[in-house]
Amino acid sequence: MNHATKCIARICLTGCIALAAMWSLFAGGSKESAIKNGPTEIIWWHSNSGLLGQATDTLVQEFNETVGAERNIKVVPVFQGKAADVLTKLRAVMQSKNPADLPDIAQLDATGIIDVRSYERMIPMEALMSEAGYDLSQLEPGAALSVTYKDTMIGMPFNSSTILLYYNKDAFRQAGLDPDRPPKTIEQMAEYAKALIVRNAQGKIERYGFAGVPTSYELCAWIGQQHGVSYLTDMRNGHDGDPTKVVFDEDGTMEVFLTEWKKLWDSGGLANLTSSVTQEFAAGKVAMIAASTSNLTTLLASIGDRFELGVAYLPMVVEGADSGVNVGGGALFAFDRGLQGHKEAVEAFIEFAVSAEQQLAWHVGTGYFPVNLGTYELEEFKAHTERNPLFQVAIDQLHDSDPRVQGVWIPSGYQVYYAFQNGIRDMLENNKSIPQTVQDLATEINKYISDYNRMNR
Amino acid sequence: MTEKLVRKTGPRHRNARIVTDFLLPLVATGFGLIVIFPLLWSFMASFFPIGDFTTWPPRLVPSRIEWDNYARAIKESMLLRFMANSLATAAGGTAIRMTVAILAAFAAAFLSFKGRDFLFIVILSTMLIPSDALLIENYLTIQRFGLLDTWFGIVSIYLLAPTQIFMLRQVFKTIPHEFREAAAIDGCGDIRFLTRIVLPMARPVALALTLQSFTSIWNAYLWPLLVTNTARMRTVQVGITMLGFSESLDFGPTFAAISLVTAPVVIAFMALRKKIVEGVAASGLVG
Repeated sequence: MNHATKCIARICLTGCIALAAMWSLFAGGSKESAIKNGPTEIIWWHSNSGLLGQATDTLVQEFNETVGAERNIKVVPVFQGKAADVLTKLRAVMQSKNPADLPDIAQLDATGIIDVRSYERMIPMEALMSEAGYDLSQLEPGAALSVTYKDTMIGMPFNSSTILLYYNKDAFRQAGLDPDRPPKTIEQMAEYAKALIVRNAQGKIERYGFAGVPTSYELCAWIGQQHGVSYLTDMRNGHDGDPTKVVFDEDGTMEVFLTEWKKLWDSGGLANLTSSVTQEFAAGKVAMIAASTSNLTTLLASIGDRFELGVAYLPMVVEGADSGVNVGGGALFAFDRGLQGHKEAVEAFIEFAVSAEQQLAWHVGTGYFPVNLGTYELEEFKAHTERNPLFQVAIDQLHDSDPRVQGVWIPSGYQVYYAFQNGIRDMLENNKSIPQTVQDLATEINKYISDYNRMNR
Repeated sequence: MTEKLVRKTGPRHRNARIVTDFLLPLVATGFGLIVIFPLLWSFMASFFPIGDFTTWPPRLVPSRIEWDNYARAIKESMLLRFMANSLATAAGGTAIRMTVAILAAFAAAFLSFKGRDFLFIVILSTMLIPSDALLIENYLTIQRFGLLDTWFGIVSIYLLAPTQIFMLRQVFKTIPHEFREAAAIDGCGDIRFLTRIVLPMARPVALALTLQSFTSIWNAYLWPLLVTNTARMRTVQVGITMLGFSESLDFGPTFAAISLVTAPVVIAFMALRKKIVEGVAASGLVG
């Protein structure tokens, strides 16, 4: 029976292939190897890719070859996708009640802090480091406060940055502005923006003066720097506990900001761009932007010699609002996996990672500023900033800022981010009144806050 | 059909001829270009040096060929290992998924047993639950089974595909039961009936589903990221995110990786395209 044989052969073949596939699928997985007598393995989850990924690998390699080799510790960095993905995964493991699956160290941003700050297996950084006799006063004060919750430093600031004004010096020259005198206030920025507009023959704008729509990121600085120090919400921007309401409507800071921002819009030189802002700037389509200091390295590489890049302090909201900018970025958090000897190993690695020398390498490699004050004393650091004076501006701005100006820890962080952006855009483009805008922003964000608090009581 | 149409003369047929010979290809080419442009551009962009990404007006061809993008894509992310992982999970996962789907659809369409329709509805109803809502629960299951960091863990959630089962069942239902009876009289068993008669008749749909299945597993991002912990078990989509970062303007290596990663899917499509078209013609589904 030719047909029958063929049919059986075919079925067998399919079965074999399926079995082989199944087997290889199982065999392909690397099972966690049994307890070994090798070094203590410290797992570090991070979201550092590209340039940052390379700097991360270099840092870990240096540790493993020096302190790690001496103390029998091996750090294993694990890239877990974007910052939001690290958090998704961490949330899953936190629910699994299997602490051994936790990482020893996770690098998180402000959104993640909300999730881990009251998690019982998170080891507060301050306690971890103090137990080992580490002197916390060598850390950059603003950076340390940026991860302080209820007066305890819960994480170790690591990829720290601030907001900075970037401007196109060649465009300044063309417009008859002094390239060495960037705007000091938003009002002045409005004058500059008007002068920087370039139109084509049809009257269409080819280059804007400034681009961007403020979000919680920009507002932490522009609200925070008023009246000495101000906050967006009560509980000092959520650093003293869950915020219960916004305060920018009550203390008038938002009204002051919006009044100034409206001047920039009325100058005609403001583009309400919400994405690809740095790309547009690098392409010369916009003359000024406000962006993180961590953009500096890649912006310099991307612009090449097309135009001369200038950086400056973020313009003040109004003359006298001189408390500067807050520290943003990410921090390292330690977790108790219930494994012996890991706590000491984690402390050793973190101490190494934020040492003066390693922070210099991290700063040079990534553009994030050093969180260890000792770095500034190093000869190599001085030589580096002499060669790259733009980095010095970013660091000077940080040191001229009041460390109490802080980022906001707010539930529904993404909604709040877009609430600001949409609200401000709406005001400018639909000519809504300033008091009305302040009121609407407060109402919307207060709703997010109270919804969260009601559900998490 | 077109041949016969245009051979006839007269104003009406001339109009038809203009439409079929001129307008139709033009519109089709237009749509084709829209579809293929991103592919072509990302291939071009994979050779851009960093400055080319931010020039104005935007560039279509690189100012010079930057081979370094490919070198960096492969070096910085173990891309070849990731591709092997993706290929294994996409091919293996698709094989199991299609086998399960074909057998289930066959049972739902041809066999009659107690609870058949109920079972079918249960499978279908899983489509109502958004996969994101199950993400953490699925993770916990896989973790309890000890399948983290395995290929099987990666494909596990793709093995039962209600859409696939539903589509195949609908196609199988169009095949008259008389075929099965006639085959049975000739001594043809169910498996043979399935492989020799049903599948060839449903070939275009089966192939399209296979392709779609392969692509969707190949393109998966969040789930493979969640259930793997070591770099050597990662898939390509995770690998691509390792090359760029939010502040970066250096997209070259990312586009180089995208070009390398898209290639297998494009090749799989080109390999199957002819079969799908042939299948459509042979099955007489065109009408």
